[in-house]
Amino acid sequence: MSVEAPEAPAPPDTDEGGFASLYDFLDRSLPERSLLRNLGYAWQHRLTVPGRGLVTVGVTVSYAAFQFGYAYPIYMLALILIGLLGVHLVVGQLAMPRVEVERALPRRVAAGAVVPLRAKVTNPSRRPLYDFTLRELSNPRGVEFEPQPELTPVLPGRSEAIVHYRVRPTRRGVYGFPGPRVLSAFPFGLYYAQRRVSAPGQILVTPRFHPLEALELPAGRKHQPGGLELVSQVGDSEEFIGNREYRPGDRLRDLDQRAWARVGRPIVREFQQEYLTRIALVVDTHAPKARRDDLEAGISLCAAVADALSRLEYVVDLFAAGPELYRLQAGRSLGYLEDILDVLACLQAVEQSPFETLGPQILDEVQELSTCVLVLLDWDEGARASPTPSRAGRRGQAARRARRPADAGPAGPPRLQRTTAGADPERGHPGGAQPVSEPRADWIAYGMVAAVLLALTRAAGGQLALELPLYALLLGLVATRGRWRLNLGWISVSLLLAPLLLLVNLVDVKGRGGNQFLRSFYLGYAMVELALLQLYARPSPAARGRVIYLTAAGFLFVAVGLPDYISTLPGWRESGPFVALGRSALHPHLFYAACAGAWLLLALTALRPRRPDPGTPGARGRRVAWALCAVVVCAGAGGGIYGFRAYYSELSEAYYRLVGNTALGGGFSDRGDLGSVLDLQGEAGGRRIAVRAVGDVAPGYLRGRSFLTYAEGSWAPGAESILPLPESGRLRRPQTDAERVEAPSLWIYPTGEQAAVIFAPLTAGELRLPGEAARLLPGWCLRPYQGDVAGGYAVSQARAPWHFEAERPEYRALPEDPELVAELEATWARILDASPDAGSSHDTRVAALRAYFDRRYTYRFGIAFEGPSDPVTQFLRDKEHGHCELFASAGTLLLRQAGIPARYTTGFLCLEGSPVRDRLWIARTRAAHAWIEAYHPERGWEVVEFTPTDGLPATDPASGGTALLEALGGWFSELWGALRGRASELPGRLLAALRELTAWFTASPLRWGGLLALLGLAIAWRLWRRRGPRAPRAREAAARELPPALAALRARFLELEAALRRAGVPRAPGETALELRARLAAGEWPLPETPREEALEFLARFAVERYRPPEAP
Amino acid sequence: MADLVQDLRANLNRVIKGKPREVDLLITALLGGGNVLLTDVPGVGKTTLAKALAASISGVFHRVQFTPDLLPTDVTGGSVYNPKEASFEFRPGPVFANVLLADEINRASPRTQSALLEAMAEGQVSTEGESHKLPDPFWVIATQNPVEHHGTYPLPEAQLDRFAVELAMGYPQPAQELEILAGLGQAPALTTLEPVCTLAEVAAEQARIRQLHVAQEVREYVVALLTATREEPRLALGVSPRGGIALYRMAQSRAALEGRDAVIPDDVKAMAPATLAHRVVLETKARYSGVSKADVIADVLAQVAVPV
Repeated sequence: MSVEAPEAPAPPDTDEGGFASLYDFLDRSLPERSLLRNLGYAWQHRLTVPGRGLVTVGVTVSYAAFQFGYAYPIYMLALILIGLLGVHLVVGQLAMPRVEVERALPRRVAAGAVVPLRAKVTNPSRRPLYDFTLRELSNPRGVEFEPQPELTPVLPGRSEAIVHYRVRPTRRGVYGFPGPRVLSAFPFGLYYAQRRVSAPGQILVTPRFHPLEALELPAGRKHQPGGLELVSQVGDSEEFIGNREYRPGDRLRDLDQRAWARVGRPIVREFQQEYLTRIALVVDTHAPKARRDDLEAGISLCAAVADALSRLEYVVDLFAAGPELYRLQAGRSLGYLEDILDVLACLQAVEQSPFETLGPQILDEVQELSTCVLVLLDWDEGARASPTPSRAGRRGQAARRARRPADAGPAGPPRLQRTTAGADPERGHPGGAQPVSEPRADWIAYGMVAAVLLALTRAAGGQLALELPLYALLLGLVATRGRWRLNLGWISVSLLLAPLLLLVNLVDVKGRGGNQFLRSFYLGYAMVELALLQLYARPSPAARGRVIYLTAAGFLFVAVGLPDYISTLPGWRESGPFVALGRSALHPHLFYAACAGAWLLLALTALRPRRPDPGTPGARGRRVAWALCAVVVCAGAGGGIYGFRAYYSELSEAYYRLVGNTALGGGFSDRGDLGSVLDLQGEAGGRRIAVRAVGDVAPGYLRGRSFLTYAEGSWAPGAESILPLPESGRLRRPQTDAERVEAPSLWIYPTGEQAAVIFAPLTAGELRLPGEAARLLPGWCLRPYQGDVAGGYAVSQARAPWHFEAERPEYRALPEDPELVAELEATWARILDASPDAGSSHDTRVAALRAYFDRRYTYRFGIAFEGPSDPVTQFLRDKEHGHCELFASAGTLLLRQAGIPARYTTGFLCLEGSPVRDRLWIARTRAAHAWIEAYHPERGWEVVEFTPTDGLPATDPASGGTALLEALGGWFSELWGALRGRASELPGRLLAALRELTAWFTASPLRWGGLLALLGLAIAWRLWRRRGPRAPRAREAAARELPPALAALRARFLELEAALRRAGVPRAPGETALELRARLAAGEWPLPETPREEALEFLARFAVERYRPPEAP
Repeated sequence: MADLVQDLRANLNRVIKGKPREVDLLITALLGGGNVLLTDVPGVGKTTLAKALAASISGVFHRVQFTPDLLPTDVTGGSVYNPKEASFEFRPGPVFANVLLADEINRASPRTQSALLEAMAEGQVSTEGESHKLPDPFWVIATQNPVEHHGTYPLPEAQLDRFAVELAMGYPQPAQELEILAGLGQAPALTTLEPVCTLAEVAAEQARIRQLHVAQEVREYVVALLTATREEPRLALGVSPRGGIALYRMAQSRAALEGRDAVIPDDVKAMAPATLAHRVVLETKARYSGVSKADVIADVLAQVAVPV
């Protein structure tokens, strides 16, 4: 054999087009990052589908727990999930015995084919191995292993089992496999504990090709004076024809000595001459990186040609692939196809045209050849210089050129066409690259769609409920690295997560108690529905585990929320929780609970859950694992709740400081550092839009945050960070239709990170937040309770009662810094000296202060402070310039020094009107501002401005395209706000409708019958669906014609078979009674109610008697 | 019946160690009246098994060593000029026997292989316009070596189809191999074999087995198996009706060997791999995907529903 496969190369890359470099980057950089690689590996190979769902839910819940703040059920769920997974990891790994595996990989496999493999798993230890399957350790991109769909339930100690799985190579190449892994999903089926087995093997994947239906070669057979060894065709054996006279040139060995002696002149023996067709097959491998699909197509075409030649009466004995020339001189027509496929499997692209070196070698051989088949990737210079048909033709060889599609323009990608007449063009692309590229296309498409959605979501302010599924989607894409498979788990997670979180986000508007219950209850209800969806979508034994886990999780949610709910019922302490529950039976929540219970009953009926028999293998281990799990979960939950309650205030504060909305700058966080407003003003040139407002008049001062106490260059909100909302106040959503009718005077749409703050004018009397609740901060500022307010909100401007609230001592508090206090006193004394009547009234004090600032200071953007003194001290004492923060800080403190309650406020000055759209007002970041709010005993709180007029933000509007874009952004913000408003109302409307429906059904006992009938119909439908496919009528008829004894025998067998199926030991269609008996005799007996020996004896009897002559059953 | 089978089995197991399944299959094929093709690597006892079986039956046994230069007339026999009577007379070839051992059948040219076609199918030989009846029973045991390709001519499908059963011997277990080595000092078992039955007994047994009851469901099962092989996408050629007949006969024979008076689906399943696998032709893609014919037949057996 003169063919040697090259050293096993890496699988050839088949990247496409302009994405080649991107793919290269992704492929080469991701695996090198060990953390990502390990996470991806664990996600793909160690987690089961329920396990992936559990981890997804766990991550989501953890994220949601941070987002929602104090939500006990969510924290508890996170603890439960972590505990479950932890116990699973430990128990699974400890319970797994040592195993040995014998498996044989096929040496040669065609790309695209599915090859079943079987492996013998031996358990040499005494411990049994539960719920196991087998996977190959390495999973290169070109080969996919399909594990056995069902886990093998048990492998007893010191026994063997056969595991079936399949290999599906997708790309040609040589792949090495270090050995299989034995995976055990014991005890809960969430995570695979694994044992690695070293059994190195290799698979050579030959290229994918479509057989050519016909291949016409323009050459006949040619005389080959080589003798018998060149002959391969049937009927061409060298046979004696006769004698004739010697002619010069005849071989001397053919001289017939006897005949020569007899006739006296040289006579030669004549044999049948050997004619055959010798073919050279040449494939071009000169392909730049961007055109690797052409190379794959060429290789596939070459394989198809070789296959066609092997089926026809041709001999290929010269095969050139790239710069290498192979002489296939052994095996002849019997074995050369394998050799060619081996070479093609390992072929790699070359950067230089191979014809430089190959051409002369082929031309040397061309005298011997009948035909030369060239598979060229392009008709370029290198190909023209090759031993082309024209040059071969000059040497007396037949010539025919490969065809190129007529519609391929000069700039279009070169494509090869099959050289057959009559081949079906619909059967597929000749290349192996196209199917490989499909997941890649999906990858890009999913990624782009997700990115666009994510960008839109972010632009709209980052609604949590929409973001999370997208994160899950992206995580899945990254984890599967392009091998995205739309399985049920992912569909469920992606589709159900969105409405689930929407519900959680929108239903729990504010407050506690019943809403806590609602939140946990909706989660539970959604879980149960998810479980049922799984069951109905794929009613297989594999779905059973998922349904059990999801149902259990759902009920955990409900159970967790129930105490909260009971605590909200009136009089439950007196009458007891159950009586209170009964009294509130008509409550819509209970209606949902009843629905969930009905669903669960249906699910349990349909499930027939695995009831581990006391003798069932693994039952004890499972019980122990569940018990351990319960202990861990309870301890974790208890500890978590205790800790959470003990440190609630600290946690809450840390949450808002670290994760919540206060991470933003610009003076709107919990710390009003001097300079932060300045930073915001200068950010990105200050032209970025921070707040849009729609209203008849410019909103003016939009307050973001008020600060009460000053110390060392920084303002703080006050002693308490969060205040309770006034029950009687109007800082809430409108509750009645009458309230809704009232037209708002202003709609405000913050953008970006400003959406974490509620900006409102000082005169805001009522806020309408679609869906979200607000928190009240000291200084009568508001902050959204959940998420953000990017959807916009309405503000009605009116004087509200709190405009006259100035009781807090912080409004009058001076800083503790004696130097600053002294300076304040000195300054106020100077003002009084300048205008003695300044202290007579509120207005005169303010006017005197304003006059003082106007007289002494000018505006300057950015002031440097040196030395140990406080900035405000230096400003008052030394400086002649300042910016808004200094004017506002100094002014606030001086007003307090003068006896006027005052507070330092940050926000935006929104005065810029859009030139394109009426009623649209814009505040850019350069309009960030700090000002003073002072309390007037009669007029209440009002804005006081000490910053010089030239220091106020400019209001020159943008023009042209920029203005148009900004207006479009305004419309988009309004549209998004409207959508969010509608969505927030939907749960309420649905609840009302369901409540009315419940009331209608339960109002009259006459209607109960209808309800029961509906339930009965649902159960009947489910049972009818469960009874399985109907047996063929003909078979039933044949069964009816059996003699009574045989019919009885058969009926008993069918009964036994049904019982076995219910016990989880179904009979395969191709399994005979004796095979079933052997299987049952070897394993654990699954039917506790039927004696084992009797059943086995019956099966043996049935196997023989069922088919005996009718007269002698 | 039981004695005949027991004696044959004991005789063969004396010679071939550790291969009771293969011995049983061979006896099944003998009683089912089917020709047998033994395919395996050299040196595992194919020829010995065939010779032992021939020696166990008191009939005419001929052996032909197939070589590339073997001519059809070397097998069938030909006319030879008789100078005394100045006429041609037919001299029968080795095919005229009760048991014909065609050793290394794939070494002969297709022309010579084809000479056996008529003999195996119709029990007669036609040469120079005359037909000569072969003795009854006529039974062919052929051996071939699947490893070598050089200088061999694979059997055409038509010829393969005429073999009822294809058997592979496989290597013996280490214990049996030790036993073989230990017995080398003694006289070869093959030389000491005595015939345990006559041809008439075998013929009578074959006739009895052909009358064994096969239930309608089992017949339908056989047909369903054949249909499944013809519809199997991995097969270019399914099983022929002749294959179905062979499976039917082999199942009958196995049922008789097991001492039953009716064929059960287990008999059909047990005989299907040996009876059907060599008759099918794999698709090109399947051939190069590591799938064997036996795998496909096993899948078909697993898929086709067994009648109950």
